[in-house]
Amino acid sequence: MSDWEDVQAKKSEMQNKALAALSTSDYEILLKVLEMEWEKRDLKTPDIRKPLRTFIQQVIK
Amino acid sequence: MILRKLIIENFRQINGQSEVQFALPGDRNVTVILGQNGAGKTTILNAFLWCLYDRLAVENPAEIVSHKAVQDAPIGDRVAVEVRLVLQDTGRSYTICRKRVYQKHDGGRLEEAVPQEFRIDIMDANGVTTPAGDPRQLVQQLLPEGLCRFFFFRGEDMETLALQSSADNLQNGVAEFLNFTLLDRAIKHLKQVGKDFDQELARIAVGDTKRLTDDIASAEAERADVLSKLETQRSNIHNLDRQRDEIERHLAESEATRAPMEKKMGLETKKESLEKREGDDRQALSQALSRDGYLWAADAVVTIPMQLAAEAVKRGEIPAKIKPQFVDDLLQIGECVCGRVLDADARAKLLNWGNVGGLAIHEGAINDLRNAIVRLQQRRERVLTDVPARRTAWSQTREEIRQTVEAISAIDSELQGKDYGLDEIKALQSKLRQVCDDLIVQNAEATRTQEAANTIDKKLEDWRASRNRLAKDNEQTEAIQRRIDATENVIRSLTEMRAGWLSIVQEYLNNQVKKNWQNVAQLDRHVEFTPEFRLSIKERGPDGGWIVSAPSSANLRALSLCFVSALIKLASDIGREAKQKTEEARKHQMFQGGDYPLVMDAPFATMDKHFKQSVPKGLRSVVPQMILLTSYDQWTGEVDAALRSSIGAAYALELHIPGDEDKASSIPFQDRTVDYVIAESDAATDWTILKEVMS
Repeated sequence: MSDWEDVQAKKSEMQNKALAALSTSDYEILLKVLEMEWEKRDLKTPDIRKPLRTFIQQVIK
Repeated sequence: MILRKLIIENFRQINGQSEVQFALPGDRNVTVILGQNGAGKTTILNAFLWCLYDRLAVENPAEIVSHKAVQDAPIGDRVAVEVRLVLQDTGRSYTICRKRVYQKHDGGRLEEAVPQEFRIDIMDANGVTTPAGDPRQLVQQLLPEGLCRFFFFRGEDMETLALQSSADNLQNGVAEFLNFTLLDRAIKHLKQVGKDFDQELARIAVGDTKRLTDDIASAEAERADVLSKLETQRSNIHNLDRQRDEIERHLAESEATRAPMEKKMGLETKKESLEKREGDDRQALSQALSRDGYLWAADAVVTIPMQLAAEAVKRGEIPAKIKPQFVDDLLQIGECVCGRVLDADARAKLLNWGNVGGLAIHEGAINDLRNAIVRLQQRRERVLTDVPARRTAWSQTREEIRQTVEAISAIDSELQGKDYGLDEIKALQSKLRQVCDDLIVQNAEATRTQEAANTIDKKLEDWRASRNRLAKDNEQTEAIQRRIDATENVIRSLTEMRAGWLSIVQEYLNNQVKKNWQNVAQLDRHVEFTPEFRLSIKERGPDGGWIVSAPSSANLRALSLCFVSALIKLASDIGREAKQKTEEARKHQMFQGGDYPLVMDAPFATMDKHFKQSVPKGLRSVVPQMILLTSYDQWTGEVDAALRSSIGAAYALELHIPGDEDKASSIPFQDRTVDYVIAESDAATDWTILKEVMS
């Protein structure tokens, strides 16, 4: 196994472990927040507070 | 991102248009650009940064234009400054162009004539060219600005990476490689939303839930204070780390400068002794000149009387024909030589004649004079040999003093003000002890503060769990509590992933740094990229174990270069991984990785012979492309020998300066002579042009 393959294997294991604790709705929030950040990536000080709060309120009623 | 071409026009020191075609990855992946100090090596480095990021540290924006181009332009004309960089990345060719156009007014004043142009043309594998929609973002994807310091750097800035105080800098750099910017923003925004939910809960909660919510809010505030205190303490520790690095660097310098310092002290003692000898020589010469110096140029004083005497002898005037004794004899006999008896009148005449003395007195005087002149002649001969000998000795002593002063000056230049005296070293050692003591105190305080923060965290966790249980009794509060829990869960996962990913990459970089050190530096040292993101270097102690000691500037540079090479390997691995992703997934990756060049301005300046032999050669074998900006002095010798067979392109910065021809110089490069400095009597300012010198 090359150095990088070793890194990838460890990363995959670590990610699985970190995500395992999340419920479906938690995971949905995680994906959404990252998507929102990507959309605002060009702004120096993006503010996604309100839409994120609204999204979480919708997912967890 | 492989560099193919750089075209510079009227940028800073470079006048007119110059072009560099870079050596590509392979056996000959080194591009060398030679230039003497002030010729524009840093200008080339700045040209990259200006083109990519519009970054240039000048007070007046118009200073980016070549002074000569401005001088040559008639008033009212426009002067363009432009840098074009052609690079290749994942099968595409990118031409990045930044251009500014100025108009020249009276007095040479410049005014921007049109808005700055910045564009990127992308050519695909089929040769179809399209302009980039968002060139700024594209540059950030090709090479984020925060990362460029690891690929384009000046040698003197490089070694600071290996200082203990650079841990934050390295950690931030690695975090940028791993695209943590969005992750960090996500965590920050989720925390803000979590607070919003807390406040919402506080508004509607009653009874114990309300009390716990208030307690949690108050504990959160307390936690914020403690974290702020912790941040201040960490900042203090960082400052102390930097102070310690600085002192250790001075102490390492003092160690490295010991040999030249000792040589300098020897030369200064020699100079003192020579100066005393010069004083003695001068005094001896002055005494010789003051005693007999008039004879030096007084040839006539001795030759003319001697000549007159010789002529008198020749004429038969001396020896004298009549002598006083002869007169006395005639008077005693009483008759003339002819037998005539001397009468009274004749005796009176004869007596008078004898008293006059005639020629005999003159002869005596001339004889006395001749003796005196012979003595003078002897003294003159002595002075004629003595004075030149003394003058030669005096000149030789003065020449020796000049050479000694020159040697001292060369050492001073080598020391660059790093001539530490014993008192200064003692003061540094004492300050180092003080800083280390302060660090122990500050670290202990930070540990206590961290423990206090942990206690609050534990308290918060318990209270939240209690509130969670209580909130379930009410439908409305229960929903808010679940949202709070979900937000915290996501924050925890993201934080764990961030820390985990960082730790895995730190371990990877640590392995690469160790491998690179073996290949590049080839020196028996224990190097490490620690979990605290510090570069560490240890040497063997007397018992064979590894000990920490203040590393030399050369060691720090070599270690930094090993780290940068490790980052280049990381970028390459990230790039290979990105290639396997779909086009859509690639678009969502901030830094896409790939092959990256190493562009270095004078990186080997402070390195010793061993490093100059091993580092350039090792480095070029672990990076895909290397661009080396260096002076001929730093190039010739070990670096040249190490890289000669790897050069794929070579250029010289031909510096034109105002002045006489004696200021001009040329350098030998690959069996040819290359103009290095050209002096122009009619030039008003320095300027440079790049010339290809590859045979």
